[in-house]
Parts: sequence; C-alpha cells; structure tokens
Amino acid sequence: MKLGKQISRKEEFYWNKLDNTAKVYPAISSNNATNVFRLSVKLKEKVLPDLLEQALKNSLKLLPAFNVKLRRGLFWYYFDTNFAVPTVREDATFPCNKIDRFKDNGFLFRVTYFEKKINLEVFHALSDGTGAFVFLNCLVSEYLKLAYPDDTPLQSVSSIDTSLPQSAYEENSFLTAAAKNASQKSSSLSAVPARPSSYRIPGVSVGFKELRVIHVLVYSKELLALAKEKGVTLTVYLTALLLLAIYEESWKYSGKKQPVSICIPINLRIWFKSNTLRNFFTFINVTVDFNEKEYSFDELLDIVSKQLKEKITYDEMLSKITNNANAEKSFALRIIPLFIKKIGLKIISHKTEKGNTTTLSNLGVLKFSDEAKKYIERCDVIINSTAHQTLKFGIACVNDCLSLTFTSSTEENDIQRFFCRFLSERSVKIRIITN
Amino acid sequence: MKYCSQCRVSIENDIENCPLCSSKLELSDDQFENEYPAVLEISNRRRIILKIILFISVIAAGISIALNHMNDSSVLWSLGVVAGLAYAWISLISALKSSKNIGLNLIIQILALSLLSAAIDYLSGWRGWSVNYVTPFLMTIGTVIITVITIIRPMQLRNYIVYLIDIAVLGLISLILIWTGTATVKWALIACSLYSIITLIGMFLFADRRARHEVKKRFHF
Repeated sequence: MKLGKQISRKEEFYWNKLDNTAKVYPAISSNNATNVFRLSVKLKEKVLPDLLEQALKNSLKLLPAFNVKLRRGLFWYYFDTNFAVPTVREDATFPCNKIDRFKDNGFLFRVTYFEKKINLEVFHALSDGTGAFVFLNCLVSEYLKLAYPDDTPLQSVSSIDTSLPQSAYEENSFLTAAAKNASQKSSSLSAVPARPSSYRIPGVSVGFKELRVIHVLVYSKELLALAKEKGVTLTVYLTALLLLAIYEESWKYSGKKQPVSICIPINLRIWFKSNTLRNFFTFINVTVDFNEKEYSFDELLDIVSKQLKEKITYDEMLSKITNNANAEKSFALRIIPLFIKKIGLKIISHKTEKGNTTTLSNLGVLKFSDEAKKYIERCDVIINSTAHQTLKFGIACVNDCLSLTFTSSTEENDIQRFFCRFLSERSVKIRIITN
Repeated sequence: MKYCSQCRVSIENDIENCPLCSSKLELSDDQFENEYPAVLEISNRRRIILKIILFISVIAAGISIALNHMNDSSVLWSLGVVAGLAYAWISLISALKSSKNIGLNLIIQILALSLLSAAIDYLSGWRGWSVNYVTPFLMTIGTVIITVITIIRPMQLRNYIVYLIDIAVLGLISLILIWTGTATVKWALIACSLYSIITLIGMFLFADRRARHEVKKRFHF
C-alpha cells in the first residue's frame, strides 16, 4: 500500500459487479480446474521485459476494466480497483496455473514472457477469449510502440477503440441483450440443462499443476482448401476430425458406451451487438453416439453440420441469454449467502463439466492492426484441462498461420497423432511445437 | 528442425523422439525454437510441510485420547489437547489465507479463542470466566485494532469496514449469552457491544462516503 500515492476519486469509488457467467468461476476454480486460459503471441524478435512491463502499465490505464481485484461480498463476488503495481515475470512453469486472489498482486491475469513470446493468462471471471484478445491487442500494440519508436505508422495506430466509453467495455451484455429483446418469452429450458454424462478420455494423469501442450501449426490456406473441398466450414471440419480421432484412438477401445460430446463456445458479440470485455458467450454441444454406428468422416461432417445449423440460430441464442439473465435476476438465488451459493455452484458446474468430452474453442482470425502484424509471427490459445475433460482444443489464426493447440492432462498423445496423420496424409504441411 | 517420417510432420523442438508416435526423429536443419521453459518437477513445499504437521497433530491427538481413556480418569483432558490442536490449525490456515488483509483473520481468532477458552473453562469445572471476560475482551481488542489501522492507514478503511460490522454483529449476538444465563457478569459484554457499535457509528459519521460505498458493495445482491 503506497502512502502518499495520489489515487483519483474515480479509481477509489469504482466498482463493478461480475457479469452473468463470471459469477460462477471464482466459486468453482481449483488447482485441478483452474478456469484460466492463455493467449500467447510469438513475435519475431526477443521480448524486452522492461518495455513489456511499461506496456502493461499503459494498457491498464487504457482499459481499467482489467485493473481490478476480486473481492468477496456477502451475496456475490465483485470487482474493485486494484491499486497495486502490475509486474511481468519470465515464464517458469506450466501454462494455465490457478490465478490466486492473493498472489500476482491481486490481478486476475498474469503476463509472462519467454524468449520471443508474450503470454497473457486470464482468469475466466475477468473476461472471455474475445475480451482477453482486446487486452492482448492493446498490450502488444503498446509494447511494439515502445520497442520500435522509429516506426511512424505503428506509433500513430491507436491501441484500443477510443470512441467507446468505459461502460461499453464493462457491460453485462447478458442483461442488456435480454432487456432489449424483452418480448422473447423464455423457453422452458432452465439455465443449466441437464445433460447425460459424456465419454471421458482416459489416460495416465500428469503431475500436479502440469499441462501438456502441443501446437499444430498449418497454413490456413491449405486447411481451408480441404474444408472447402468437403463443402463445410473450418470449424465443422475440425470438429468432425476431432470426433473421429477420439473415436478411433480412444472410444473404440474403451468399453464404455457414453456418447462423445464436444462443447463449442460461441461468441455472442456477433449476434448481439456488444463491445464488452466481460464474458458474453454461450455453449453449443455437438454430440455423437458411436453406439449406433461407426460413423465415417464424411458422415461425421454431415452430423456436425446439421447439429451446428440447428443449434446456432438467433432464437436459440436469445433464449439462452434470456434464461441466463433470468437466473441472474431471480430473487431467490440472489438472497442466498455466498458461502452456500458456492456449494451449489460447485455441484452444478461439476455436472456441466461431465456433460462434455472436450471443448473446441475457435477464436478465428485475430484482428491485430496491419502495422503490428509485421512484427507478429503467430498467436496461440491454450485452455486448461480439467478432471473430466482431459483434452482441450484451441484454434487461432494470424498472418495465415493457423495454430491448433491441444492441451492435455494425460500423458498419452494418440488422439493428437491421429489428428496430425489425417492431415499430413492429405498433403497438409504441419509443424509441431510442444512444451 | 526435426522431421518424423512416420507422421510426416516437422518438429521444432530439439528432442530425440516424436511427441506423437515416439519414433526416432531425423534432423532436417539446425534451426530450433525454444518457446517453453524447462520445468522441473513442481515441488509444493508448503503442501508437504502442512501434511507433515497434520500427520503429527493427528498422532498427538490420537495418543492423548487413547491415554485419557486407558487411565480411566474422570477428567476428559484429551479434549483440551484436541481443542488446542484444533485452535492451532485454525490459526495456521486462517493466517495462510489472509495474507495482507488481517480482518478475516481477526474475526476467526476472536471466535476460535473464545471457543478454546470455553473448552478450557468447561474442563476446569466451568467457572464462567471464558464468556464473562475473555470473549468481550477479545471483541474489544479486535475493535481497537481495526480503529488503529484505519486511523494510521485511511485507505485501508474499505478493507476493514465490513469486519467492524461483523464484530458489532458478534457483540450483539453475544448478548444472548446474558439472556440465556450462560454469562453471569453483565457489564463486560454490554460494554464491549456498546463500544463496537459506537465505533461503527463513528466510522459512518466521519468517513461516511467511503463507509456507505463499502457497505453497498459488500452487501449488494
């Protein structure tokens, strides 16, 4: 605590409630399910730590929505201004470790560097993938401005969209979207639909706090060509391939008969105009029951296409948002004290986790500015594994380099092998980097 | 860069075997990328130390309970040992979790020490000194500590207001002890409740914007 440091009144009295989905994460995160994801940018030259730290301080001034500390109230968690000084450290351990409320000076994110990489690890209560990317973009832009002061076009690019007010960045978009479309009657689905248990990919667990990462790097043109050949989008192609890999390398031999279910988070900002940095996404589940038939790859492509088409519609999204908003506003839920709510939330989230075999998170083409792209080689997204979902899959694309990242909490790599051989047999050039 | 001819992929790490199929890799050029630090086995020393202390505590508690019953004495002294160990554990965990903000630790210590003293009082024949004197004394000390902290470091007010409210509530609840007859000496409990309520009113009078803001945040639903 710095005595004598001038704290503006705005900083002192700033506070923010957690958004709809964020209310859950602090209650359920633990060392085995950290709810931390990492966005990594690989630059073309080695990272200079002092400049990175200065860039971080600048970014927090530009985006105070990230300059927060998590606090515990009687009924809910909430955010307060964080007066501590942010620091950057060299990456020294496995990715996606738990972000403690008390360590890292209370910040809900962690910025580390290693050689040419800048890593931003974010606790999901603070932001989702899209929101974290806005912050990462700002951080990288500020860093490049400091690292290359002679590049004039770069200096004139704004790190954030300065036309937006802070409240746009901190909007609880679930509530505003539900309110704007208030005529929509909420369906009979509850906010947490009951799903049957899905297949769990077995394997020998890695050590405490460890995570195995395999980056599969391909040229986006080659993979898009393959998908186009089959008449599907890239997400459909990769989802079907992942399902096939899980079937061929794991489900076939397991003796268990649960369906394989892939959870795909959908960014709602495209459907309901929003610039919020906070969470604004929902989940879609693609489920295949291999008991019925040994589906071929083409059949899987059909199944995935159909399921996505059915489930990703405006009405479906709106009804999910309305259900979430209603759950958040229900007086009965709000009035329960936090320590009791935590127990209930843990139980519900545990059941939701078991409803899916794995998660496929597609951040798509990451929109860095053209001036910044010159200095960036690629970007990865790494998602933490949990006890039930031992494998997770993240997709990100910059500068025609498509990065497909497998994260695993088991020692076996059979599914990844099948995935890569499938693509390399179809003449896709693949580079692999592991940790 | 290395190359796996089985999988037909290039590997940018400087390793011997393919991470996908474990077959031997061929060298294709000597450009390698190092993107992750070499992490040794994560040693969680704190966890190991806590486990050792827990083990020793369990042994101590077990032995004392066994001895107590073997000797057939009328005094249940093993309860005192277990209560002491439980208090030590609660103190340790609370201190580890509190870090810079001692407010929660303060509340937990007030409750834990009150219970410990009640246990000792009960074992030594219940003369009532625990509820009559120890409990109000602890609550008063807690209030004094918070007052001192907020005077020296006014910025910490936002962290401590809620604990002041907690102590005031505890003080009011402890008045039940008088009502039920467990506490026979009235003046100590009543005085300590009054003191914590006056401190609270003082906070709201002199730091009213901050205090009200903090209450709004902590109790929002």
